[in-house]
Amino acid sequence: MKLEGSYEVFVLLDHASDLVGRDESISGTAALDIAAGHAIAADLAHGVPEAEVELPASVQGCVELAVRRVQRWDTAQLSTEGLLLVMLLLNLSLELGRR
Amino acid sequence: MSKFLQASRQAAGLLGGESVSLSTWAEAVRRCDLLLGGREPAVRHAAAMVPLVTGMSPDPQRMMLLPGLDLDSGLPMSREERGQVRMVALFVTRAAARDAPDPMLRLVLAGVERQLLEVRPASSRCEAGLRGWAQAVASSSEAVDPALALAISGTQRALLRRGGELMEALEVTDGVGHERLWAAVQANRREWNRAYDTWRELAPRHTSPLSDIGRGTVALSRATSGASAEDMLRGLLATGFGGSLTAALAVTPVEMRGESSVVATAAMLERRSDLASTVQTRTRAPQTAPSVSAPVSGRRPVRFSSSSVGVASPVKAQAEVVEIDRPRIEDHAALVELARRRDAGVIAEAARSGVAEAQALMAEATAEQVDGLIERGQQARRAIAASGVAAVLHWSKKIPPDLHHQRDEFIAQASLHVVELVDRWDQGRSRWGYYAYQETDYEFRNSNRRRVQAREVVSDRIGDYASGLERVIGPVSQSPEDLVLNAEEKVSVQAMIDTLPPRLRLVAQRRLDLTEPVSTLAEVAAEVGHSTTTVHKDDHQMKKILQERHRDSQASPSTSVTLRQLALALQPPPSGGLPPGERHRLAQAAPRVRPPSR
Repeated sequence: MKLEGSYEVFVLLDHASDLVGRDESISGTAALDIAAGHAIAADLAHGVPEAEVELPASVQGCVELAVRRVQRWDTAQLSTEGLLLVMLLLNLSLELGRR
Repeated sequence: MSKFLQASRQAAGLLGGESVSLSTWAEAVRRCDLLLGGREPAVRHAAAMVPLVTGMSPDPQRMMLLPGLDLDSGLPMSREERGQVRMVALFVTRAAARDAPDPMLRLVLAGVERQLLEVRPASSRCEAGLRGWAQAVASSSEAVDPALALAISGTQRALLRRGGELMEALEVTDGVGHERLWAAVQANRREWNRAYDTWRELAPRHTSPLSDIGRGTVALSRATSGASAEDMLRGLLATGFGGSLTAALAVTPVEMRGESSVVATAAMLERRSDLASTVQTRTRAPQTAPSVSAPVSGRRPVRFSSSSVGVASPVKAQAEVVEIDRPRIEDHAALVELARRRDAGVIAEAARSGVAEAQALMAEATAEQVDGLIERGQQARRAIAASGVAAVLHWSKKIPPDLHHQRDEFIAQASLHVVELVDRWDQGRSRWGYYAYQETDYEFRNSNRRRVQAREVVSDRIGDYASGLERVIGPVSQSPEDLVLNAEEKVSVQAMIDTLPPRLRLVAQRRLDLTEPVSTLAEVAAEVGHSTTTVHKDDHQMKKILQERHRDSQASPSTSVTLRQLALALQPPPSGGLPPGERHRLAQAAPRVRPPSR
């Protein structure tokens, strides 16, 4: 099943991965969660048409936007990977918000 | 008899036999893993490493299959048989590691062997997750493309970052030491950052189905979430920081591994994390790079002039609030940072003194900033010198405790020397610890040499100061009794010298010459053709023997009256002496009086 906005989530996490290397305030745990989320998002977005995405300048901004996207998803329809991605992003948002 | 006893014996025989090819090793561990059904984690890990190891080195040798390993997999096995299959994998791995031509390959095989030797399972879910990640990377090493390399780099970068954070909160108390391990983690982390950027340029953004690497990353993230800091750090130590070397070899093309800095730093991290396993909460502040608690700031532009007329004297504002941590001598990263501050201070001082090049470099700096740089440079010097005292104390412990005056003197001199060394140390050429230990070693040896020379000079000139009376009023005539005693002593000493071995006798005749001026050690050494040190040892031994013989001669009971007693008895009575009755009483008491000792 193709999820709406999954490509945007993938692009946001891909961009967040690039920003992690330049942002020393991101913890190793958060960086690992971003890498895991990126792998799942790449899988979910595979075959989904590409779309223009506005890229924030910070890791936190990318995660916040991605969280807003996945909150629109119907969790009852999500696969295991989809649920895992939602959980990862919510945890990430909480952790980055605590900083 | 067990089905695998023969295979186990033959594998053990490989340790002392001909070389084992990598293809033999690969086939053996694959078969072992199949026979065990993938349920033995260490053998599973060894089998997972096969693509990585066989891809590292071309293997022209013939493959040999051990007998007994070609049985059908999935057969029920007893505990003993499982142990024997594991032993086969261990012996073959050890034999292959022994014959591996590439040091990096030997390091990888040593890691496999270490896991096969460990009988305990992974101590935590976190460690199991890290091992699973390393296996996933090794299994995928044959098919790594830029996208997979980018994914591996991203995960490895995150693991190293986590490792660095944990090492700031916890201390690794064994292995090569916390600081050295921390430095290796930081170095490897920087290289993984660079590797990520490099692969990013080669791998454009694109979606892809979940690969084994992706699944490994997700599993790792789940395994480590909620893990305690201690468990996580122990897991990282047990797995070489998530198999950093394995990952580095997997993402680096074979022909580039020799020059790859990510492989080199990962190999260093693998070696340094090898023996480390004990962690505890840090009791002191983490020794990161020295920090300045209050950055020096100022708005007034600096003016350089050879004339001080009209120029306000530099204000030493805020100099007292600049504080620099005191690193330990082994904390190389912090000391290098201090050395940079020292150098900046030198440039600032030169700029203030009017050196044109330095002024050009400091053109943008305000007067307060220049003052701050100078002050920080001085503080950095003091911090470096303070760390170097550890080297001085190290060498001072070699001076025996009963020579504490000399020890204190050495510490004072060597500490001053360390202060001089701070300005001469080039952080680009050597570590401060190595440099300070070497230099204080030279200082220690110099100090010893000076002490020996001083002792010899004193012994040569001892006659000059032996008698203050002689120096004042010239030679003093000796009494007949003293002359008799001296002659007698010379005879007895000469008799003892004659009993010494020939080599020591020659030294004794020169050093204890009873008629001629005493020769120095150097003169004796030149005469006998030995080194001064050897003659010094002979001199010491000769004196020891003579002292022992003298003690023995004194200890033997003697009924004869000594010459000194005789001389005392022959002495005329003092003027205004005692009455005859009193003299007679003293004469009777004389035998009870202990004779004066020489």
